[in-house]
Amino acid sequence: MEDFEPKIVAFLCNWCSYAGADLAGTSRIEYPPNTRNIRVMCSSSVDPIYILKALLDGADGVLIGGCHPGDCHYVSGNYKARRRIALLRNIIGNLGIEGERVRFKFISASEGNKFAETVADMVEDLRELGPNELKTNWEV
Amino acid sequence: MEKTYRAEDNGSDSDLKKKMIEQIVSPLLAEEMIDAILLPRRSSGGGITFSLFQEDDLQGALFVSPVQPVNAASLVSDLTFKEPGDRVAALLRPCEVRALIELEKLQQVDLDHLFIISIDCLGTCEPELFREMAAEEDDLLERYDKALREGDMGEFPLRDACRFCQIGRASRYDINISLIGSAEDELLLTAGSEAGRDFLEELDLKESALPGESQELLDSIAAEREEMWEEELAEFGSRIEDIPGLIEVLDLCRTCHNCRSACPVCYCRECVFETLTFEHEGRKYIEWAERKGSIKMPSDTLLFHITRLNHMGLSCIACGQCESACPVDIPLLKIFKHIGERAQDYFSYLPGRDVEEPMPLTTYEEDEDFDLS
Repeated sequence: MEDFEPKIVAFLCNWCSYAGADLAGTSRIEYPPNTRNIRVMCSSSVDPIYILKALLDGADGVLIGGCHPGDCHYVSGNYKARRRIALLRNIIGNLGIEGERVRFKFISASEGNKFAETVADMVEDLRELGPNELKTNWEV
Repeated sequence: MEKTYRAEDNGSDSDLKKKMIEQIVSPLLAEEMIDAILLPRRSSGGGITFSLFQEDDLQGALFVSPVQPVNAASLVSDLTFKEPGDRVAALLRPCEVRALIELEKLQQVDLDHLFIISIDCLGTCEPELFREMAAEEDDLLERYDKALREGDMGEFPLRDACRFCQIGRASRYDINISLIGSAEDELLLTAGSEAGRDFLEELDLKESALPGESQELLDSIAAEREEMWEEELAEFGSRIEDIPGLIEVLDLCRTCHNCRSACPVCYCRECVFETLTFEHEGRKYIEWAERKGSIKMPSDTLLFHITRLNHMGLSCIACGQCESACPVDIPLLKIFKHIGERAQDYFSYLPGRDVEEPMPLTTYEEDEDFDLS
């Protein structure tokens, strides 16, 4: 599994987590280059369909980053996103897709370090979990 | 407090339908409490469909119907979603009332414009099967009525959804036709709202207790079916506990989306799967095929079903219309009931119980703990 490089699709909220990722970059913090970052206006705008599409098309993990409780630019988007992801993890968990592949984190615009750590941890965990088997299944 | 009334017996041939028309529907229409009433009706081809009646002759109408042609909650949505009339009445089964409560939370029906006449239900047959059976047997409807009153559906080939359904009586109604446990041709009406009670009081109907076996029958049938569902799950649950298993079960899916259009709680007015988002450029498919070596066509079958589970699984009231609508007999009811109920348990949510119970995804608590790491 040494040479397995997990691919992570990261949906980052415009107001907090994307800026956090940006800060990680401008601060020259080193973290694994395994994420493909997608900026969204709010973590709650991430419909389960986006996450599922990524997983079914072979992404090894999906990271959703939103503002900290109380900080959402749209008041409550992050709380709603949290529930939505909880539901998604419950459903895919019961269908045999490891819930750990989908992660939800509160990362603020000032938390470049937390973003870098989150990605590093996730990459490590996904390495242990192994590649997403759906990647090679033609019927998915 | 709920009160039950007994409709008058006007002569020996006054069956349930006659009583309903004379004592309930005619007064409702005459006093302009309702503009029209939605009821199942025998169709010219020998099947059963729904019909919206404006006059009280109710020709061909059925109150006790062995078929659920569609989940009538969808029809109530058609009737009340946009510029509703003053008020319509609809005869609804428990699963239709539950779908209605979910739709009310989604603001896709307007219960203020509806007079709910619910009816006890212990199950329905597939429409095409009923038509075949009815062609062979003249007194099929009478036999069904009797089976329902006695709480013994053993001889009817019920749909999967109905075989496992544990809710024989609605929890919200203006008037409920309390059929289970009642005597032949007896019409017992339970008022469940102020409007229902006022109406029945004015009709001067005699108050009457529900027979004791009514609730007993409901409870024992529920227990029996729960056990049956557990047994079924022991086998079926293990078949879909991973994606390759789910793929096997969905094997024949032709992605027609019938399940979605038949679903009363699939709430989007326009489904994303029917939009340009899923009209991919031809070269896209080739790219995907390149990546995996080959892909299934039509594509996105699995994405469709798992997305649907995410979108409406919490509201799934297990009416099984998805399965009835499936041209290739995929056990959709079992998939959605199984996965849906687990998600509902996770959020301690019971769809269709109460309009005041918020849908889990429309609410939140600031301080709540889900394992999302």
